[in-house]
Amino acid sequence: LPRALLLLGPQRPWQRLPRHLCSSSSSSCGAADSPPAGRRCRHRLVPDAPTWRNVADSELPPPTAIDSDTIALLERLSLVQFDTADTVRVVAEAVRFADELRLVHAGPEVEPMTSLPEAWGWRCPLRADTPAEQPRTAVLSNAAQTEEHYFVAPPGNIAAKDSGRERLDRLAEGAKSKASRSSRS
Amino acid sequence: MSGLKRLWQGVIGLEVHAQISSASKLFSASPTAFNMPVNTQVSLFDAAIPGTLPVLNQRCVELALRTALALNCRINDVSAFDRKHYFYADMPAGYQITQHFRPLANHGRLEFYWQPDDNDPTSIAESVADIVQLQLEQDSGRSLHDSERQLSLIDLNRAGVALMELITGPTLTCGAEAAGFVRELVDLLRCLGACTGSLAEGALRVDANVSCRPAPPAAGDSGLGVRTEIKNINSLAALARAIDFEVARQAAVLDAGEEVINETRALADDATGRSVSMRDKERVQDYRFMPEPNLPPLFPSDLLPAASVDLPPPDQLPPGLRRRLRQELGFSYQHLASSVVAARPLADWRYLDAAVTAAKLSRPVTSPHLGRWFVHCFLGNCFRLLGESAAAEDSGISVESFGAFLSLAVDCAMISEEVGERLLERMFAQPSMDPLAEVQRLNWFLTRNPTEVASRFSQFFHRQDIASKNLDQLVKYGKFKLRGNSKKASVIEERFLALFMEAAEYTVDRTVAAKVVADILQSGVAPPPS
Repeated sequence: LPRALLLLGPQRPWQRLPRHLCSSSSSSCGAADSPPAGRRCRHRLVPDAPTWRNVADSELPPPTAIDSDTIALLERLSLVQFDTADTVRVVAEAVRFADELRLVHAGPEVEPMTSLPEAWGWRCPLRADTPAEQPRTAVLSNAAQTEEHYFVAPPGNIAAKDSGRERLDRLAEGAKSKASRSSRS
Repeated sequence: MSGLKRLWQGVIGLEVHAQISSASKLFSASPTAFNMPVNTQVSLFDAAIPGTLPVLNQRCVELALRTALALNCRINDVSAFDRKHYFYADMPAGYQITQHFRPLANHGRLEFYWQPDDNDPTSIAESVADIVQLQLEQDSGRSLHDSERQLSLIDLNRAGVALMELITGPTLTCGAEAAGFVRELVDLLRCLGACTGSLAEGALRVDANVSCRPAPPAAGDSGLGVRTEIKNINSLAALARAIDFEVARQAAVLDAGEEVINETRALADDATGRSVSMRDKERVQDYRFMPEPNLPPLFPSDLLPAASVDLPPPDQLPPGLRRRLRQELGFSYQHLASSVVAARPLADWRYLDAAVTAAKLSRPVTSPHLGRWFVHCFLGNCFRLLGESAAAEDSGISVESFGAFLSLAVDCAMISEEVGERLLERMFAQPSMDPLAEVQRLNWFLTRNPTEVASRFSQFFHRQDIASKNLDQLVKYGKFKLRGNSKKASVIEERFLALFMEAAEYTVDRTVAAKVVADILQSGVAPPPS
């Protein structure tokens, strides 16, 4: 597989993988840069041993505050309601965990990779403009309620029953106190 | 309105969504025919059934590139698709596949003519609009709201149809200019075969972004004011009115010292252009744009050869054609803006060109009548007598004959408008006829000599039927003149003038005749016929 990768498309940093990933000491690879017997493959991007590093809180940027407005926005965007302060705390911790990504500086010359096909240099596949008949029954078969072949849906976008700022404030406060308690402990 | 215009100037940008005329949808093989039974053109992908993937339609990209080339856009080397997330029942996936970060093309321009003053038929202005971005995106389905039963009925036939979104820069200044731009864009899209351009059918949708800034702008201040977005516009006239209403509303708000709220407004009344606020100002919309992971990037240069097949050169596309008609042949706005200009085959304009040369008219033609003679009269006769698909040459009237006609009629110097129309009808009936000989034979030349006109009028005036039928009018005229009521008197003069012109078969000059009629009536006594 690595050989096939090298044949397709332009070279990207992560494509410069070693020609052989085998950890065995056999010299059956036959490649010119095969390692001496008994030693593992060496490549500057692939380390010999796992290199976990604990990131200290002080290295990270200031934590994102999840206040009432943010909770309201998240609820509206995701259509998921936060029920307890614990839920908010979990979200805050998840955001904090993802903050570690901000420490990675790949530099401006490295283009972000959206998907593997893009990295392999695949171009967007194109389809000829020929219509195909679509049976109506298949598409409507999952619908709980239909009327004269229309899908039936609730009216427009109804605003979620606004239980008020008190609920949001309570959640935000509860999450903040729980977070400060856990960080102190 | 003029009082407000002294202080504030409208700044308008348009977002145009044009439905691409392809046989199947953008990412699936569903048909795109108009007005089909409900939910019969929906594939599993369009209904967002899991386990389906998008596959890009080549024809849609070709037509979008064709439009980008015609608009002089800079086509990007790499283009990619993105997801725009929001929840609505007519968009089953919960996101729309669009091109936010890397669109197909940028930085185009469209030149167009528009009419600044509705009341003045000779007013015309030329503008250039910037096309900031051109991108492909999916359409959503249609929803019918039943407020009685508190539900919506969703039809996904339209969901997934390819749309071309064109975003203009904030360079338009008023409703008439915006309408002129959309009119030219529609003609261009129809000419390219990219879109049917029907606003009424919903094939072309326009949203306007409107803001105000001080007029004239303060030196060194290029900032833009807070803008509002107007949606739900169904016609060109409604677009112009909605924009003018919104500019006036914002100017009033700013004059009162208040601030304009950034909001989305829906057009409520087509006749006045009144719009109402659609969404709560506190509601922030976060679309969470992210690259579409299921679609590798597109390289538009691969499809440029297919896109530019049979692409007419710029001076044969509607904007270039109109510029030539205006600058060389002096067309007035009314005929320039007519959709006839874009719809006729190019052979018709070559015919006109040759006829103008044959008529030895000096270019640029300054007479405003050329447009009327060709577009309204000549092509009108073609359409009426020979059918919709007839070209100018099918009339059988040779270029020389039409040239001779133009040299007689174009300035209305030798024959009047009414005579010209009748002459043209006769030429269509008998294409080989020489117009000059015909006019000489029928003595249809315009008479300008006052004495001659006077004698013709007095002959007309002393006719038995005229005198007897209009005796009461003459009596009234005398009374008005005695009382000094000149307005009512002139009404009667005009009545006599109209009768005279009709009787003389429009072979007398109108201005001269009007003076003659007034003189004779005022003198009280018409000289006996000589």
